[in-house]
Amino acid sequence: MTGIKILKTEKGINQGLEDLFRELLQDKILDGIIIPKSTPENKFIYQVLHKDPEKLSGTFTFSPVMPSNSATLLKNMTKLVPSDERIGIVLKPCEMRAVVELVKLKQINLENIYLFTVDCAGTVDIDIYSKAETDRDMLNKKILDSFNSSDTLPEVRTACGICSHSYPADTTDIGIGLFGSNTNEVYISFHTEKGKEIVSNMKNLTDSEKSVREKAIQSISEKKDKIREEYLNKFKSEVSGIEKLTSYFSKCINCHNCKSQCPICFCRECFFESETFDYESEQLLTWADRSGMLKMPTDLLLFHLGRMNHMVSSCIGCGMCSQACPVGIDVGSLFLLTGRNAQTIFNYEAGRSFEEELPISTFREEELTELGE
Amino acid sequence: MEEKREPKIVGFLCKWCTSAAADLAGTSRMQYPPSIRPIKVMCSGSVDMSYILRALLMGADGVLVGGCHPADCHYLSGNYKARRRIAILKSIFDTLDLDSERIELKWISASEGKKFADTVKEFNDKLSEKGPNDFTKSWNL
Repeated sequence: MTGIKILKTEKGINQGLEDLFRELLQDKILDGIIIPKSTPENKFIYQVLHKDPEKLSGTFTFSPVMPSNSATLLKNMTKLVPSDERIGIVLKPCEMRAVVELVKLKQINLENIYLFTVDCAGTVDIDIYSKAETDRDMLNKKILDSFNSSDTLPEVRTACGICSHSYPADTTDIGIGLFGSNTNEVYISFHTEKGKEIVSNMKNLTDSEKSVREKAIQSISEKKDKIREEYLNKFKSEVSGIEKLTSYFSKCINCHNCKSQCPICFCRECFFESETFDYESEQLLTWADRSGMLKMPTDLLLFHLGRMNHMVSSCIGCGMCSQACPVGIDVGSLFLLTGRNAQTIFNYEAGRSFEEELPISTFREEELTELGE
Repeated sequence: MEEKREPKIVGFLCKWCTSAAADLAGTSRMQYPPSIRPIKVMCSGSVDMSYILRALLMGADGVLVGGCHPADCHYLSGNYKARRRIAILKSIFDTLDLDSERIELKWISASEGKKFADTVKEFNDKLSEKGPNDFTKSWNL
């Protein structure tokens, strides 16, 4: 159930795709589309839900920044009541993988939702983007240009630099791709029945061979896999052991921003916001009596390792936690490292498929028999 | 002469099996180290990993989770779920070079008083050999 076509455009990639989306709205193929758009006054990029085709302008299908994971947005939109209008949403591959996890966690209802996943050459840190006020257009262009260069842009976030899932997978309905394309060309692919319906209604597409595109994707994912392994091996040695781990988090201010930006952390009431682990003064005084003084407990490791235990089997490595950290701790790499190993036990990969069961919501009778005996 | 240091073990014991086994060991007058602090829980599947982490971070030398044998869970599948969660916790510990051997999961049924006493003894010996938990180093001033 996959197929690939090419959109040729002389106006520039983002503009050409904008015209394509406008036609989908005009022809009532879709009732609305959620797409990154830059605001006229500050040129910052937000996800905007467009319904009026005439108002579709200034959009960035290939947006160079990701202020938050849009899976969270889709969760807020559809969790209580599914959408009764046909809405498309443009997602980065990591956002798409978060959508897969949240669907399995029963937090997103995909009824009437059409998932468009773009190729991603990485996004820059929100902080860099907001400071680059005058250079944002240049940054946008640099990101677009980097699709067909051999190296990832050095400005991109750590999570993007080591991401090997930077293209639409078969979980998405429609893919929008630049890897392997010629100048002024975009690949439009469909991966599901829903996607096929939409793509068949798109005008001005020409047929394409799969092979060039597949080869380009393969070479990128192989290269990035290698970079990822090298990075994680080096990273592991920087955080392994209690001393290194404690100092890694020593500047953590316990703000829990990483948790609130995490698309997988969907609980309305977090265990770590509760009073479960609060201390009574009597307890602290007794401890202080024992050795004459007491380092007041901060529970930093309890929070991070605890949260890790709760969600890491679904961690998709989008790195929103690192971007949200006000003191610049790369929380994401740590979760990616531990998550990957934990997921391997169950032959699971977060975000890979709608069918694979979540490791923590199922079990097999005959497994892990070395535990318990 | 330095006094021999006795390890601290926190036990999360399932009400239906392992707690009953602990009672049986007691009423049968079996000897086992007093280093374990048993906490009766309704099911091994009800033990959130945060409690295990909290115990270790606050200085426990080891945590024993005791549940019913596979297929014997009073709530049908709590022990299988506990097993998956502990596998994740241990995997995280191994990845980060923390000591995953300080976390022990054991299936001990209500009739296995001896297995309970033996388990505590073995775990106690292993932890005595290991010495204090590394997490306590982070309290040093």
